[in-house]
Amino acid sequence: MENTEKEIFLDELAARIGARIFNVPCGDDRKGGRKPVQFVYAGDKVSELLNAAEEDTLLVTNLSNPQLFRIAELMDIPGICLVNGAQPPGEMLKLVLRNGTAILVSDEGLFETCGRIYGCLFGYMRGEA
Amino acid sequence: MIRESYPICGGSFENAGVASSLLKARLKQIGVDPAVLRRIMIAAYEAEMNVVIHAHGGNMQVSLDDRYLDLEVRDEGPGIEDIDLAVKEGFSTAPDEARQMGFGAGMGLPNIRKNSDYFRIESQVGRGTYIKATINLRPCEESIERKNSIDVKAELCNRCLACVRECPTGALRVHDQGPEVLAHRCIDCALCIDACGRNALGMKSKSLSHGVAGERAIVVPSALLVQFGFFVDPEDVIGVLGEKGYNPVLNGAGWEVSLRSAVSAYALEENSSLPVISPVCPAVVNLVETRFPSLIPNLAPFLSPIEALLSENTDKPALCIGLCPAMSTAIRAWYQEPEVIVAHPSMLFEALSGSFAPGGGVASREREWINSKKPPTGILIISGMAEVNDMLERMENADVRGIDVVEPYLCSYGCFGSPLLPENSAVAQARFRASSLFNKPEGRAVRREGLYSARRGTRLHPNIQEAMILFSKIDRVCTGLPGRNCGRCGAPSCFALAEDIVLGRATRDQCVYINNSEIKERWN
Repeated sequence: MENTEKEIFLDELAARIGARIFNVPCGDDRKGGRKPVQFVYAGDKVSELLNAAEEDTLLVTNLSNPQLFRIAELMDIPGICLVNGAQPPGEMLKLVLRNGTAILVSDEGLFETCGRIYGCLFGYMRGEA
Repeated sequence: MIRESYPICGGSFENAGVASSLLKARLKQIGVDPAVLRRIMIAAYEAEMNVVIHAHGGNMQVSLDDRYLDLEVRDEGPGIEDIDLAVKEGFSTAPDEARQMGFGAGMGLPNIRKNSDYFRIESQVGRGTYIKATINLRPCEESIERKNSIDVKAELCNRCLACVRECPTGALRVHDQGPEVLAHRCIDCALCIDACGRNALGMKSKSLSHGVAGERAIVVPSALLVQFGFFVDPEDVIGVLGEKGYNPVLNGAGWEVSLRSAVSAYALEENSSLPVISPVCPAVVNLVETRFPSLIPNLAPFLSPIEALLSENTDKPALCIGLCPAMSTAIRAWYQEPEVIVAHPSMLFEALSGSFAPGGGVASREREWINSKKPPTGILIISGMAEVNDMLERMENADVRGIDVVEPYLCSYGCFGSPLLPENSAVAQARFRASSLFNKPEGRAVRREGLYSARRGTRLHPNIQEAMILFSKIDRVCTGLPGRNCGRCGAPSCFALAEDIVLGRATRDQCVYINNSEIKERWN
């Protein structure tokens, strides 16, 4: 779990790590799609993700099954970042988007994606921060 | 009281989570606090997924009132062979299919346990599994209104301020109309009851005569059984109570022994913070939660002996003699009347009046004990407010080495020193140790599910920034006060009065130095 120490908006983060984003914000409505996050948690175990899921936490995971979206729905998290260019299952995507959760899809693997997010948040990566 | 039931389809991941989802929608309608909702959803989802992964089908039943939510999940699955193993973190029997989806981390049951205040699991191999998780709808750290069991009889108060000076957490104020206990600070230690010479302070309890209580089990703390003079063995007292119609008569003696050995065993576990503090005295637990939150990890996760005894006595309504306010509060937090009635020790004395010839002192076999038997080894028993407070302070400064288990009691000589008991506490303790009940292994230690949490008692505002603003205001008001801590205003110190002024509990002219020009002149 990494604390970003400040809020970052998911659309901004998506743009900076080169990820696609579903549930794009309309205007500057922070309560809609444009949700800020303060924590980032990466993992591949449902129980761990469940424990980390708070209303200001972005989950990054290499899972992409319906159960993952169920967690998003139950726990009211601002967003999930999928990796390896995973295609979110259509039905569940609808459910999650209705709930206001943003879905980010990165074409890179879990390690690379986390590295980019980390670099973006803390400016450790050369040339990107 | 709302009751809902949701079916769970086993074996199919397609509809997995639907029951939890429906429950969530319902609880949102009701307006359950988001932080509490989060705990409920983790418990419900994990329980539901257990059914989906392991069983053919099951059912989730939820009932809630204004205080608690009970989540019960039953399934007709294969059952669990070794429950102790199943609740260990990291143990899982999930099939590969589930593991590929991210399940099977062996965190399901531990997660439910962690997020509930009471957790029970029963299972029969080949028959199925039953899980019950109870979640307090108002989490401890959120409820500023805390319960305590100090009873105030304002008409008896002569405003001597003895209680204000004695109170270790600054919870007492004495106004013109009598004493007031600030419930959010009170730890139920009963020092004020002891200090008050006029019985203006006592223990809140139901006033009832013993006839009302027939058809009930009676729960008697062991310290009460040695209050009836020498030659009277605790077993005799139990016998007489049985004759008076109480059935069964349960006493806490064996449960204290079980707790002690469970805490010692817990201290040997790998990840326990040493020294481990035994939760035997609920007032000490309150003290740690209020004044020493950094020591919360050191508290062993068990119920106090009487709480454990009550939790096992589920089939019959009980009358429990509360030995002190802390014990009464702990019991009343979990049990409601008429399931469990908490009574004052005086009720027991009234019920047994005339049964035993009075006589103080120590019988001959008790004298023998004093010379021969030794207290249990390997643990450090400390008693009395000053000693316990000093020990906790040293522990907080990491100044205690080589001690694994501390068993602290806020009253001198442990529960024998409760101010509600008539016998001299040292004599009562000696009598108990010489009796047949001493060190008799009975009962068992029960794990505490709702774990300890720091009390916001002394914090000024839920929002830390607001709290800091208030704090600086108090500081400013305090510099305008004489700083003599005389207590004449009814608050224990000038700082406490400043806090009362800022929080609107008092006004500045309650200070005698400010209000009275004559005194002001004399001291300036």
